[in-house]
Amino acid sequence: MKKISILLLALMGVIVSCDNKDELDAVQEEQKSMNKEYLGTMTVTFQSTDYDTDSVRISLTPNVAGDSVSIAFYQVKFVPQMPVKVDITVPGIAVSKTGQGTELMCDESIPLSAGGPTERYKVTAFQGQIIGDSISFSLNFGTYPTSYHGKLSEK
Amino acid sequence: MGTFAPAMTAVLLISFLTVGTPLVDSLFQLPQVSITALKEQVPAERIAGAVSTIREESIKRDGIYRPNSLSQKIPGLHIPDYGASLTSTVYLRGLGSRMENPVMGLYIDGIPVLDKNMYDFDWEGIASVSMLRGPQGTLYGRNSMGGVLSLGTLSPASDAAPTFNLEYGTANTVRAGASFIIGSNALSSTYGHTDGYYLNTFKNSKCDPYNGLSLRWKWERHSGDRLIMSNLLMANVSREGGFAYGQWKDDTQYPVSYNDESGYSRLSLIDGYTLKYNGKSITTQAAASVQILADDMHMDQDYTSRSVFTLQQRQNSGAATVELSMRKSDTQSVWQPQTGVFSFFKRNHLDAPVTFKRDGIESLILDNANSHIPSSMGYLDISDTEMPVNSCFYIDTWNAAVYHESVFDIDRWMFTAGIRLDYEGGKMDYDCLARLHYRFVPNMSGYKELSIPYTGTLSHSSLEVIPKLSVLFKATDRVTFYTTLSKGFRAGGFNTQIFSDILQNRTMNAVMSDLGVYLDRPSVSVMAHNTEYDPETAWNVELGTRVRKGTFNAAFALYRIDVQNQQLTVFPPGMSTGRMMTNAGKSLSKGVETELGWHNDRFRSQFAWSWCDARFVRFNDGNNDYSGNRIPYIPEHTLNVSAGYSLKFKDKTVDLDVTFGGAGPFNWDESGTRQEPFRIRTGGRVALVGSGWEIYVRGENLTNAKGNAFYFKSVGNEFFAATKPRIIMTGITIKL
Repeated sequence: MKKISILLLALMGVIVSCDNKDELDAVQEEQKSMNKEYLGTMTVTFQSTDYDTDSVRISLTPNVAGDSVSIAFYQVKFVPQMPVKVDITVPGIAVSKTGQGTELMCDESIPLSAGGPTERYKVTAFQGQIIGDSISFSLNFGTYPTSYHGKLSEK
Repeated sequence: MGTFAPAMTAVLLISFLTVGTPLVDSLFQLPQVSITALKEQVPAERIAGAVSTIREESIKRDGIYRPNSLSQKIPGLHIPDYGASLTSTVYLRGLGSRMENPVMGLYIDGIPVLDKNMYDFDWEGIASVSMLRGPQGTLYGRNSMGGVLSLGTLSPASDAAPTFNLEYGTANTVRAGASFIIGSNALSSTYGHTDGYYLNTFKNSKCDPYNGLSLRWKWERHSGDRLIMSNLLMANVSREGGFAYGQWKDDTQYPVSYNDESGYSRLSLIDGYTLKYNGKSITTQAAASVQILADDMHMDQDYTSRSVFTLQQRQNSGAATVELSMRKSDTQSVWQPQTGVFSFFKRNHLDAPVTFKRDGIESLILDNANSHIPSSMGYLDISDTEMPVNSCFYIDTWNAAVYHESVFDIDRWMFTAGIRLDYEGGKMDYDCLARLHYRFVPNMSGYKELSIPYTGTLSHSSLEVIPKLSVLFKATDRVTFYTTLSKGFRAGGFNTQIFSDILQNRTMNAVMSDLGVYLDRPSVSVMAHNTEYDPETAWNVELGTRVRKGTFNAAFALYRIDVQNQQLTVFPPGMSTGRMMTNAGKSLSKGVETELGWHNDRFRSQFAWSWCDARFVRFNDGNNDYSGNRIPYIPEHTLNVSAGYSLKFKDKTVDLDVTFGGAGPFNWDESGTRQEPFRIRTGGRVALVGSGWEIYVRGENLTNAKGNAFYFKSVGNEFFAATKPRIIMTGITIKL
């Protein structure tokens, strides 16, 4: 009897661990599906003029829970007059599945740039979506209304 | 040049051919040296090229104790006296540059001195000085494209009496030397000291004191009539200040004023063994040497009272050379061939850290970086008070050459044809590291450490073919004419100085990349492989004549030198504060050289003059095109006129000598915006000479004429080195 009990416990352990592994695999699969790079056009509105920048590379990195992503913009200028290009990362963009794809949403986020948080470019009103291999979103970088439309790129 | 040079040339030519002074002895006669210092098969007076010799008594009388003192005494030779003992910048026939390899080869008793840092040493015990002007690549190989200076040391086989010399003078300068022969050994030693001539106003102390000791020991043994063995050991140890550079703003020259340590220490050792066997038909000479150099240079590289940046350059190098040559023993035969092989290997470990101090971090790095960052974003800060940029190099250089030269002596004609194949290879391992702690304000709350390593290996090699053709015609017993076509080359190498600049730029790029901030300008394109440069070559066409009549000697030479692949300093592409050596240009030097000398038992006179027009044929430094402009630092004229008279009394003599010399005008930069006029400096000597003793007073720059020996730009500032002030020395020489 004692031996049977031990076998049952061991079996239960295997079943429980299989459940946990499945969950973990699902999260990792979700993270993997979100961990992508896109190339596209960024449009920044400055003093009522739209400035387009082509071939702007962004990458999406999901958090551990898989319920939000960070979006990193690489070597971007908000306006042509800006003397430097910067890498800027917007953390905490909530993701949720919809019938058509994935919805991206964030009311407020302090982006990271030049080694730390950059209050000046506080992100507000972020909303967008991923449908198939396309991504599009809009946001305010500080006082700069910005939008982005891109296609999936090989990472 | 105007009408000065042609008129002078014409007068001198006429004077050569019409002179009729009585025959006495020859200016070309050398003191007794048993191992031939020059490689040529024929005596100096029969070489088809420009040769200058300085007599032993002139070495003493003119105070020629260092190579710098030869300037102007040999036409076209200019070795400005500035910096420190490692500087030894040589300009000759429009060739030469401040950096890297020299254009003049130095041989001591037939042993080549490989490192320019060892060129400047005390000449006590030097018995003969010969200078071959113009490219001498066929027999002498690398770094002899401007000429070769060949020194012969005191031979134990000579009958020279033991000599002691003591001098004291301006700036508490002391020079004590001794030379004597014991059996098969000739020994020379010198101690030198000076408090220095230039005041560093920031430290209120002299910035160029010097203490040095040199020893020379030559052993020589004659075995029968045929075999001569000789060993020469030279050791020099010195510690000095230096780099007496003041700032030049607008038209005002400010005194030397820098705050960081500057100076130079050196230990050099050369041991050369020579063996000469005079066989019945073939004479064989073998020479091998070991050369060791350990030196350490510190430099306040901003030369100001601010703590901007310093440079240390510490070298430990060892080299070995070997040469074997064979020639016909019968020097009277029509065909006199000479064939030789030469090889050397040199290893140099060079540590050259540049340390950016607080002022430099702020002005050269932070201000530069922050000027490109919008203030609204924030600013970059570095917490370090000192930021070292360490550069460590292991440089190996090797060379193998084979040469042949045949002289055909047919009646009044002498034809020379030669060729040399010279292979040289080099390898450099570089290991550089910069480290700093930075913070981007206000984004980053604390400082972050960042290390930027830069390591790798470079190698290069080259093969030079160096031919030579010459014809000498002996018109009479007194007059010879010659023409020569010769080639020389200056070895290629690695431009180590630019590495600190590369590291500085890489550091800033690394910081910016780490921050994710990209400056809107071209990225740095200078990398390690850009620091290699190839050999510079020069073709020389020369026409000359020599006249000997008794003690009257005259020599006149016209030359044209075309320089290819000229090693020049340029502004590297991209963002950089430094300059680097590269094969950027072509140049052409045309010139005239004249020497006259005459003496009898009371009167002596010497005249040496040169005119040189050295211009870039093609040179763009990355910012400007200087094609057609004069090459900087090259004097248009060099002049030395000296005369002396001996008043003879019963058993004593009073010697009176006076010298006028100068060089110029120069362009100090490629554009010619800064120039140095021709300036005359006056020297003189009064001596009371008895039997076996001499008391004298000698002076240099007696009129205390002002002038500049050097000029350069560093980080946008202009600097100059003033020529030495009036120097008066009094001394005594005793010959036992």
